Amino acid sequence: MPRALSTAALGMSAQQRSVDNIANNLANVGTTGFKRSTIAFQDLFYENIASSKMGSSSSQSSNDGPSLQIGHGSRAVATIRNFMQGSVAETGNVLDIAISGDGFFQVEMPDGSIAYSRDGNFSRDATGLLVNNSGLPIAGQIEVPTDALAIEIGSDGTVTALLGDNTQVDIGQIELAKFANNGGLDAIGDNLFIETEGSGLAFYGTPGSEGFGVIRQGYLEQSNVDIVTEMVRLIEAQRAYETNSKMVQAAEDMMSVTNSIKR
Amino acid sequence: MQMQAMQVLQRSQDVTADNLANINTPGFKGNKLFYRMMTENMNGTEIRRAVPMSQVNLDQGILEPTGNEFDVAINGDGFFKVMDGDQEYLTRDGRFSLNNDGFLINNNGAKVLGDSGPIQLSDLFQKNNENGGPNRLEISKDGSLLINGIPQDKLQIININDPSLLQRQGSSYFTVTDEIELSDEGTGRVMQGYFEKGNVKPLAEMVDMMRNMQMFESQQRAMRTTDDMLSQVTNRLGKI
Repeated sequence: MPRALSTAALGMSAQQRSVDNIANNLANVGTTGFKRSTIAFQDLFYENIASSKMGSSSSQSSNDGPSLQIGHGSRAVATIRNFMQGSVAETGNVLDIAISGDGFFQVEMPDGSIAYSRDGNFSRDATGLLVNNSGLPIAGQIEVPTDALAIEIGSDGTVTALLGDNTQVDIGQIELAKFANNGGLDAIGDNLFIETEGSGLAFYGTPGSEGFGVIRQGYLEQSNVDIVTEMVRLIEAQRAYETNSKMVQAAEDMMSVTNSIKR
Repeated sequence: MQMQAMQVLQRSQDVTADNLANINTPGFKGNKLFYRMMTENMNGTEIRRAVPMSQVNLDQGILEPTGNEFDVAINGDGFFKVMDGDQEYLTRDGRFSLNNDGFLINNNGAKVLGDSGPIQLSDLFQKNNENGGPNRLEISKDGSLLINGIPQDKLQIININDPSLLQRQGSSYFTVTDEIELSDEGTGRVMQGYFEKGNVKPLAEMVDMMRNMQMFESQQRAMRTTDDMLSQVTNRLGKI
């Protein structure tokens, strides 16, 4: 079997991975706080063919060095997530908050561990706790009094409630987390990330302090998927797929030519 | 003769297939295929044949911005040096990240080498002394790594004078056959927040693919003609 056939097939499957990933990005173009990812490709190992081995009748052993290197294709090795800021859109909902700048919201998982998110679409649950869309409370548990008329979240993350008797009470503080290496975070779905050894430990800080973004009440951070970029990537991947399929065809043609040597 | 030519063309097609499979591989350097004429003297008759050789095509790939501070690309000549296991490799793929010990690593988990061994940036995990915020990594054009403006280490950028000495090792790695050829002069600029795309040109590769295919077919025709001639010789001459 010619090497070219399997090389091209591996090229096709690598591009297929790329298309799968682009499909996921495009499916999340409307997902609040979504961060787009790209697939990292690498070439596979190489076979060294000494030039004297080419052509069997060679009697001289001149230039035995590996003068021809034939590669075995490409493969997808890693997913690289891009944590660039998404655009911030106004919703008018008082419990929708967006981070403008660096940092993650912290929510408490059912097992008590902390997950991180850029999705600031919060609401009040039956007990008055501020929870995200999956019902997970904000770390530090901010409880809204039942008789609160309005809630105000400052750019520094302080949450105040306006009570029925026109008094303002401080009910909590939203703290942000930040990592030395965002790329090391693991996405676990539901717009959540968890810290890994690769991301390093979280730094905590109040919004607006050095290095942390500020909080905008009434806004949500949109997905950072850029449709135009994704479409361009899709064209690239699709064309590369097509090119590799042509190679499969050419390799197949060569095999058929070889077969027709014998009539 | 035709058989050798067909084997050579098959090899050429394998090389083209590998180039095409790596169209979208960042930092990939295409294979440049060339033929060398070999003359053999067999019993006074000169037999010429073409031997395929490949060389790494070191043309610059397009730099694409990513906005990731750990992505670096070289604009110009030179290679990054990484240590995978206990083996040192050269690579143009500069999409790095940090591991849990603060070492700068690539996608294979290999440590990136600086002027004094593997680059460790554990200071990035520490709080900034002045304001309590996180530290920032900056990579300057000459490959120096700075945390909050304080120099830490320098990326080792190696230049190869003779690309024919490069050996491909897969996973975007290269080694050199002769260590003496390494130098750090004339290297390009280091660009932070970019990665280098592969330098395979689809048009040229498609043309190569069709050429290989057509030449393969014409060699097969030539082989059949030779076969016809031999059959004429044995069948017709044998009747006399």
